[in-house]
Amino acid sequence: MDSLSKNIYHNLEKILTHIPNTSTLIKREFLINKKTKAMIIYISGLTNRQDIERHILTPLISITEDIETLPNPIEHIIQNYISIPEVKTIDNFDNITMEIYRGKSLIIIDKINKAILCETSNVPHRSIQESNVEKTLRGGRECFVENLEINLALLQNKIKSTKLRIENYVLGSENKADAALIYMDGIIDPIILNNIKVKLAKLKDIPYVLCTGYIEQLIEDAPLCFFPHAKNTEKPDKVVSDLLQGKAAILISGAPYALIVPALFIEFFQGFEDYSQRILTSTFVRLTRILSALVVLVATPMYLTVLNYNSELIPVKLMKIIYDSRLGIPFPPFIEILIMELSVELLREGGLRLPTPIGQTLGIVGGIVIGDAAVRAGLVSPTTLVVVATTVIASFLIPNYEMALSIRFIRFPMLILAQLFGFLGVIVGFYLLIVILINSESFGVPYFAPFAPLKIPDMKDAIIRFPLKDLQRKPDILTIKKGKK
Amino acid sequence: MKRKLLPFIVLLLLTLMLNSCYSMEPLENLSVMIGIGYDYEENKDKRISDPIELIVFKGDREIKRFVSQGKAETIYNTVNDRQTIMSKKFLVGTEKVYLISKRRAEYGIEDLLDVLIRDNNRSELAYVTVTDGPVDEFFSLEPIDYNTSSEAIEGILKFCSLANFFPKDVNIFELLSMYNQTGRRIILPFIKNDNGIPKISGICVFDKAKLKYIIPLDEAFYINMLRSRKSNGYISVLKENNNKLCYTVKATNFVDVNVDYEDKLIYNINVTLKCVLKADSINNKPLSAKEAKEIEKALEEKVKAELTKTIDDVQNKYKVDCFDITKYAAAKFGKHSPLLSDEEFQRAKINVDVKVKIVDLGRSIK
Amino acid sequence: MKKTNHIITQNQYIFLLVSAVIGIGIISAPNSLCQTAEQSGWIAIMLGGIYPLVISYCAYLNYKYFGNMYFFELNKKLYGKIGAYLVFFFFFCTILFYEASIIAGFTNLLNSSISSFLPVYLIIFILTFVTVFTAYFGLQTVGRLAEIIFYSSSILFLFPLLTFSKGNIVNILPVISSYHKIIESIPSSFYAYADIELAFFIMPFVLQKNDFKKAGIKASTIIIVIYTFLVFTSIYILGYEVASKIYFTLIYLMEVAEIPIITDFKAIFIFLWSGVVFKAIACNHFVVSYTFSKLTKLTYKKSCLIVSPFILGVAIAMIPAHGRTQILDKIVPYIVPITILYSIITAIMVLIKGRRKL
Repeated sequence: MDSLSKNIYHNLEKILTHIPNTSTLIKREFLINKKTKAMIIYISGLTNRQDIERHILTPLISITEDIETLPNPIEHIIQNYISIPEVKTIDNFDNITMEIYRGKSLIIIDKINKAILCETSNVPHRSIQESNVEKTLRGGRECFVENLEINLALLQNKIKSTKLRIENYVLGSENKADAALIYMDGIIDPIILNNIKVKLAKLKDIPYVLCTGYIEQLIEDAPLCFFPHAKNTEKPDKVVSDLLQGKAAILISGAPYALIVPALFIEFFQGFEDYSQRILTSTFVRLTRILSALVVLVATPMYLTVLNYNSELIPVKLMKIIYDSRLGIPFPPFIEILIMELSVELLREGGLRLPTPIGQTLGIVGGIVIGDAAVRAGLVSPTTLVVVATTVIASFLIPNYEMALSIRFIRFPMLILAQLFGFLGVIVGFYLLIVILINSESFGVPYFAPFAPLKIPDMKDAIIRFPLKDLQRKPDILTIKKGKK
Repeated sequence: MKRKLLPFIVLLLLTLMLNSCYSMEPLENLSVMIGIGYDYEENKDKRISDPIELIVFKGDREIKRFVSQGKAETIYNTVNDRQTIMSKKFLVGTEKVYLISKRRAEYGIEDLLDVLIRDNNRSELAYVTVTDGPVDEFFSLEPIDYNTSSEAIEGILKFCSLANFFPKDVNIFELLSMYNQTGRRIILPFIKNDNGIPKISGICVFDKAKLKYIIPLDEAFYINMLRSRKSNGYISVLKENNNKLCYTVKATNFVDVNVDYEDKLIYNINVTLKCVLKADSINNKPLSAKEAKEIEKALEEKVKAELTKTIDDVQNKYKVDCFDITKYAAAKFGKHSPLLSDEEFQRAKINVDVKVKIVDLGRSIK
Repeated sequence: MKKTNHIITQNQYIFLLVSAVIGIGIISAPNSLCQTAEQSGWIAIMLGGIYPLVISYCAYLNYKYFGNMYFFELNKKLYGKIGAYLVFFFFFCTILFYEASIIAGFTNLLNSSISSFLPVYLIIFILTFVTVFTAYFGLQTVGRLAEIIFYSSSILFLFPLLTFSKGNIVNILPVISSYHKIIESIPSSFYAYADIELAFFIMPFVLQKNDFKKAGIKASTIIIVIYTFLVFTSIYILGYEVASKIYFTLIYLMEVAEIPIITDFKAIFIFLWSGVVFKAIACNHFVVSYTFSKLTKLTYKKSCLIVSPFILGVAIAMIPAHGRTQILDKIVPYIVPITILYSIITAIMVLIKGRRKL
């Protein structure tokens, strides 16, 4: 306990041991009633100077009574002079660093061993913009910013329910990031909630937590699993819809994302606008997404198997084309496909971070080099190019970026398995994936639900989307029944 | 300790697996066979001769073909012979057609029938036919609209059911069924070389695995009508032997067979022909239902007469069941019944009843 | 470390039974039945369905009178400690034998169709690895797997209909070849239903038993219907003469299907069917590991790993198909009556002791 003393300079020294004395740290000394020394400490740039001037300095300087003789001087000052909406009295220096860096102003007064903490923060932040990553055709355009309070405000404004609960956390022992756990009391299953809370509590001892991605990996059960076990989203709308289905969201300041837990496998294939679109079209879109995931996983391994081991499966007419295109290619099929797949990954990863004009150039040049020149040079057969290009296009259909990455990654082990064992390798790879999916859990919820364990009511919103009135309820799987055995 | 061992085990397994080099070759090192032939040469040491038609790829969409002969004592010994000249690995399972020469069929194809059951790589959907003359002669014919003559012959066999009431899809599956199922016998199309173009000229009737009769197409027309189901054929009734005055219909046959036994087998065959009227130069005017009935009647009379004559011929001249009807007797009297013999077939009374239904009179109606 | 979770639902119980029985045997069932029962093979397999019905009913009786008592404790109560060990040893050997025979059978199938280039020992190794990997996570995973694969692969059972038009009703007629032949072939149909013994072991793990009697009957009925349907279709399309000549009858049936894009439909069929076989092996492996862990008092996970080399060995020994059928023909006629006898005696004992308890 680092409590305040009655000497104002003593207190200042103590504060300076917590906060480095840089030029941004403003220590303004003034007198109350022309005799009592007082000081306001804040960080310029994080605070609103007008507020400090109008609501703190001006009233305090104009005090004309002798506060030293009052029994409760601090309360008196707060009640009578300071017109800042949010004010707190402190008597020790715990968390003082955090509070000042949050943009609060500290008022210390000589001969009083308490201090006043005023909410004057004006942390610079981005204005609310349209998301670049998650484009929606229908639904709200706004997305989260880096400021936690604005993010919370966005959510509170959308759920005007008595059940909404927001719990504040401070994560990371060094960076002390503000975070919030948001859930709907009475809708979320208490076991799931408890599970999340226990895991979040452990994060206090981690040195630093910067982004929701850190939280995700630190709290999930199986970080080595192929698939993401929690959803990240930029859209407040999506968070709201998930909260109402009995999930929890975690927000952290500095990250324009919300982390939604628990998440099921099938959710990564569902788009937000599926619910705004018509039933048949959105069902069709979902089917194409699942098909595309299958294509990404299976197309190249199957193609490789057929080229390498089971050529008799190709009809003669198709064989004529493939055979013809393979003539004169110097590489064995595996190497050929691997080269193509890798170069596509290079192009994709390269284009990802480039500014748009350069990225486009890269795309065009890469497309020409890989698509045309490689074929003309006789390094790659045109049929291989078609197959690989199809898988690349298919991989863009998966709405969630992390899931798309995972599935894109898995096709390499699948390709190797196909090279090792042919058809059997593809079968085994696929089967092992399903076993892994069945066996994983996201915060106590079976990850592969509603398929395994089978929940017939939840199937209404898995691959096929039923009418909305059947869906506006909490999925069965998010209620955990305690096994009584 | 466990964790340290794990990478070693994984490495060990990987090397083991990667080491097992399978003798598989990528597609471009395979020779794609498209047709397989079975021939027999008398008065030679190595009597079995199996020519195979292969596709040869020259690149740039240029596709040629090559007929590879193999001569040996047995079917698979021909591989010994053939592989001495082959520059690529064989790929079984892509064959489209099996050609059996007449000489070979007369000699018997028991070995081939067993091979087809036992060898699981072969294609069950390849068509089978018997050729007049040596098989390699047919393989070396210049195809008109395909790259290989096997594909051309396959096309002929595939679409033969559009006329002459040939049954659909006479492939290896059907061959094995015909051979093995009780009360059936192998009947295959017969192809001859018509001035450089393969042409179906009849059907071959086998006894067990040996070719017994070749029935020319004219006679086979009505045999086909009885043994096939839902096939097509064109039937005409001429008036006053004038080729310009006729009824012509495109008929689809539906056959229903009942069997009875009264001292001898009695087969009642009901043939229903659903017809589309294609020509009627006798009436030569828009038709009404009444005239349609007349046409039906005329057709019924003609077909019935022809069928009765054919049945008579078959029972007395060929003396074996070419109509594929003994299986109905087997279904009624048990698969091991003594009534399934050829003698019983010759004794049997076969009644045929023909019903013609004109479902479409064409555009010219009243 | 996560604790092995064995709890399953009643629905999963049904599909575990179904998936344990329907594996590789069904592919060659028409073949073995047609050899003796001729065109009435499908009647024989339908009558053989009495076997799963009896066993699942016995499992129900165990539950009715002794509740969720583990099978080992139940045996201890009925036959004493040594008796229980004997019973478990018998089931351990039987199921291990069945499991190895499924692995060997599937290896043969793969080796003769899509994986002819792979060495046999490698296929067996892969299959065993996959099995152990599945069963290692406990019955819950196997149960969920059985459920999802059954639903997603139930369409497979309808695939023979693709070739239905090539069949002919005369292949089935006359309906009864001879009563003597049908009865003679019923025992060989019992082998098709082997593995239904799983019911005894997994019964206590079912979480909520709403209508347990019905669940057993439901599972048996599904199995019988699928078997009868497939044998019937095979005979209808191929005729018993061809069916009794080709060992993997169902695969031959698939080869005949004409599907665009791919010349050989059997590859697709095997590709999809392998899920069904994998889960059948996994069910067996669960029982083998479970009995082994009871016999040796090791943990389930450890015994799951320890028994795998045994299975590998037995499976390799059973690889030539003709050798395997020979072994099966010799051993199965003993195993099946013993199992039935044991089940009935247990059921009677349970009835007597259970009544006294009530």
